[in-house]
Amino acid sequence: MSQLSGSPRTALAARVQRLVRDGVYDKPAAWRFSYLLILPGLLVILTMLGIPLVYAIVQSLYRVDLLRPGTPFVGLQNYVNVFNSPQFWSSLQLTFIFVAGTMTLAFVLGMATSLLLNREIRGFAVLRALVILPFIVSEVTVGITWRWLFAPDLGVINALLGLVSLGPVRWLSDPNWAMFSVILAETWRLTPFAILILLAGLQSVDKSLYEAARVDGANFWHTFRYITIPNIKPQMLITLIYLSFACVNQFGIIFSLTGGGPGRATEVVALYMYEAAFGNFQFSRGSTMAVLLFAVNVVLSLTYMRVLRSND
Amino acid sequence: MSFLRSPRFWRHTVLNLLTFLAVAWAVGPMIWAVSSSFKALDEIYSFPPTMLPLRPTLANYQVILEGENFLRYFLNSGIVTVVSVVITVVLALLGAYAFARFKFPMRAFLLLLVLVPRIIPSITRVVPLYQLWAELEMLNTYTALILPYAADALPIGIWILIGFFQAIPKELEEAAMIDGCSRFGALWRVIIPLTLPGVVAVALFTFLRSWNEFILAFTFVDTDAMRTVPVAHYQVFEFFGVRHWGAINAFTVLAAMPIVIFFLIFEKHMVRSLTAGSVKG
Repeated sequence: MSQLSGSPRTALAARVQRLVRDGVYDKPAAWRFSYLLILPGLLVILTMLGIPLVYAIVQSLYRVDLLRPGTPFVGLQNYVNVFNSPQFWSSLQLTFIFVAGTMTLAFVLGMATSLLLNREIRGFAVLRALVILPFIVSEVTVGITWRWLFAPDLGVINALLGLVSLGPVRWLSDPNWAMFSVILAETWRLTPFAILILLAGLQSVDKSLYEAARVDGANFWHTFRYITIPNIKPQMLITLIYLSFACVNQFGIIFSLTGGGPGRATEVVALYMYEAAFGNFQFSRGSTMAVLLFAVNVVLSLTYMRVLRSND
Repeated sequence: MSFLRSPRFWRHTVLNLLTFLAVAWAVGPMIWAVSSSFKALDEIYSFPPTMLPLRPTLANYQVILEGENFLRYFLNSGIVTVVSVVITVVLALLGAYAFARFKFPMRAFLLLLVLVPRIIPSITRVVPLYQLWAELEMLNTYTALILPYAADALPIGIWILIGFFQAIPKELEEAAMIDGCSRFGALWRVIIPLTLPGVVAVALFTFLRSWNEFILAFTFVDTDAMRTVPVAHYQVFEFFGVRHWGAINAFTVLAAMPIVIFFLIFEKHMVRSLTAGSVKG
């Protein structure tokens, strides 16, 4: 509190101190007021997030199939069916390839770009804004933009490849290329996130560490290995975990690029789930996979919390 | 020309070249869409493609703007986004204020109840929410999108604002109260201006997610007049029958424009809100 005695502010502060000492913040009147303030937000969160999750879990224990009559309780049968379906395992494998491929590419590209931007460089703010752009447009915009780049006959990528007598590659309609194409588009969208986090990390590293190392004759790889990496480890972990969330839950980009095709070549679990629910109207089968996807999110979140705590 | 032999010169040149490539990788696809959107159809179908339009034309934009419901898509997205942002900001302010200022029974439990649902991805709630809206005959309504969007942004919004409220000394607010404001009066007149950066971050975060959201809007809306921009953008192929790539690119440019303009204006704030939700995809 203020040390200036006699001023009106001090008198005010003294009254406030009394109020705080009397505990107006934790009396039943304050309780009711708090509940009133929290209630509207909590209601929206519970009805639009919590209850749908519970409903999905419950529904995964019944057979809800719009093409078959009745909704009998079937216990864990839906889970057994899903785990016995080769198609589920193949979509899980595709999800894994998609997640691992995108994470690797986006992380490496993000790190390289961050290192390039973390120099004495003219127009830094503009360059940073430009490299972030792909992250702010919608997933559908990403999908359609890349569909145009990948177009087999008119697309610019095949035209550029043609200049060096390569291709044309059927990026989206060749099952051997489609997953790579989808990974490339997702990498394009997510690299900016890696840049945002990693660049912030790089800028917080004490510059004098590099000066000292250079005086000792360290080259780029030495400083990167022994100064940069240890200092931005938390940012690296946050980046990797965020990328894994974004890829596991990705729907829009794959859906608008390939729709899961050709055949099922890019049908990751998220798309397979959607197809089961809204293509075949097997709501309980869809819910079962939705719950499994949620479980993956829970595991990732717990990892995230553990990582953050150990780095505090 | 002795500088050509200096390793420093080469080092700089190579690094600048690599920086240029990184920026080109990020903006190249968008520039290509913009360039294509100004090309006449015969130029689009010519091979090899021209980098810049030889005869720039607005014909593709005309095709898009003459589409029956084109402006309606923007109106729909605008309404859904603005209302989601307002609801999120107001409810997040109220909730965060209570959590930051008061002690009450079950505070920790309620905080958990508010924050933990943020790990529920849209892909998990799309089926049950579809069934809910179908049951209530509320498919094809703004509400069916606004409420899930607000719920999606609220946990992070509350989390951000709790931090801002806790940074404000209680004394400031109490001074306002003693001056005769009610608690709500104190909240609005004294506290809100101080939390403005937080409010902006929450609003931008909600704006981005709501404007861009696809899977829920695609599932809950099946009439053309109620489509939001991303859904209409996705369906641009069925809209033309043939691949009218000029018009499709014009649509891409128009769909991305509001968000890119926003980004250029609010870049600093946007960067903060982009990383605010870093737990969820």
